[in-house]
Amino acid sequence: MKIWSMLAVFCLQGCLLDLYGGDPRVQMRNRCGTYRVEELRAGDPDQPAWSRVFDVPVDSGKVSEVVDLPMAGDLRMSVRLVSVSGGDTVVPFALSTDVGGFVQVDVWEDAQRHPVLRY
Amino acid sequence: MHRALHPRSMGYVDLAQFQTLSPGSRMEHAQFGRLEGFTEIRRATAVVMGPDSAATTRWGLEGSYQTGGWTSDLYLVSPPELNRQQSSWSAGLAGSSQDLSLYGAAGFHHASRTQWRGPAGYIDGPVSNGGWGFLRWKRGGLRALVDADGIQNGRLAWLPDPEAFRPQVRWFWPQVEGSLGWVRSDANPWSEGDAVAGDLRVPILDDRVMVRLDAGGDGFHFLQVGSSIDPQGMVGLDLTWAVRDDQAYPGARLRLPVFTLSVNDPDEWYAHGNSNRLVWSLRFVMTWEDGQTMYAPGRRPIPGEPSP
Repeated sequence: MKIWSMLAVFCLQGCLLDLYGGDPRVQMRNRCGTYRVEELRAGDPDQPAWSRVFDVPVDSGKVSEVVDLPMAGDLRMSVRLVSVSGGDTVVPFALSTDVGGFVQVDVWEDAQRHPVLRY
Repeated sequence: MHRALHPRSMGYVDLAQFQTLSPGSRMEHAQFGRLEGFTEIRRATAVVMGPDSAATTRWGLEGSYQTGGWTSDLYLVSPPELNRQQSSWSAGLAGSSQDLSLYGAAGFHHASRTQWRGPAGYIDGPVSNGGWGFLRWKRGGLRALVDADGIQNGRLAWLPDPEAFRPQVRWFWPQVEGSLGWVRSDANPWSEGDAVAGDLRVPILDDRVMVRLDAGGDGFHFLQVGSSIDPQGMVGLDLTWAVRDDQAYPGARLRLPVFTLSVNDPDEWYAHGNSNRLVWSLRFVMTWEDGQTMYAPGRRPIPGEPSP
């Protein structure tokens, strides 16, 4: 009975997305030494419509947990970084992902210690 | 022109659900960017004529309601949190005269502004109002849709003979039909610009097998082979080969009593202009008519024709 009710709820909530791999997923990897990755955002960088604060801030050399994005496509994303000195930096970037896709985004820093994203 | 719209018809009900089965419907969101998802549309249309089946002159009402649009996933009851919806409705009057072999209807169509729901929801696009009308006299037909920008599309048609025929005596010319018209760019599902368009249907085996070719000034649209198991045309299979943007779209439509199940049905593209690779539709169509109608006694129209 429990299984049938779960199946019914599953069907009512939508099921086709799971056949194609589910929501797209993103994972952040921190390769810079002066920033910590704290938050992933979608929409306006300063007033995002969607955001995900990482349970554990991503320190240098670490990777974040895998985050499910609520939508797929050519997205306007941004990431909030916190420098070792305590200042916040928001870096916008464009992310292209399909339904069921997975993207790993690396955070580097250039010669001037500015954050750079590669994916 | 819906095949249930003829002087002997008492009306019809058409319930339809149309949806894409693969992700690919791209839609621009002001905040998030160009999103990839699915399209799901639901539509209900009805025409009811009166006063009764014995009357040779009838008057009636037409009404329809459609809702749906882009979603991040398909749904059965309510759309997922992030979705883009638009609702539209139409209302009209219809009249018919069996003595004059005449049927006509005209009405008003309204489409609401599209609305993004979920995170960063907003209302987008203008309201759209327009008019529609169609006329059938004997084997001639005329259909037109207009809005504030002028004529959206119009067709002149040569329709099947509404009188009953016996396949053993003659079956070709009574079933031949064709149309020629023009469609504006924003309503053209086959190309980006305005285009002349038309189709031709010819039977090739009694009332059991027919071939339909649809093309226009923008090139070949589709070829359809339709077959009916029963002489009433209620059960059959139509196979389609369509080409758009240099891509092939094979399709199939299974006609059952009352229900029509189809994949990549080009008639649905006329209604919704969807460009996804895999489109599924389910229609429930019931028509009310008296005994001697259309091609043979008791024969019912074939569902799947574009509704107004």
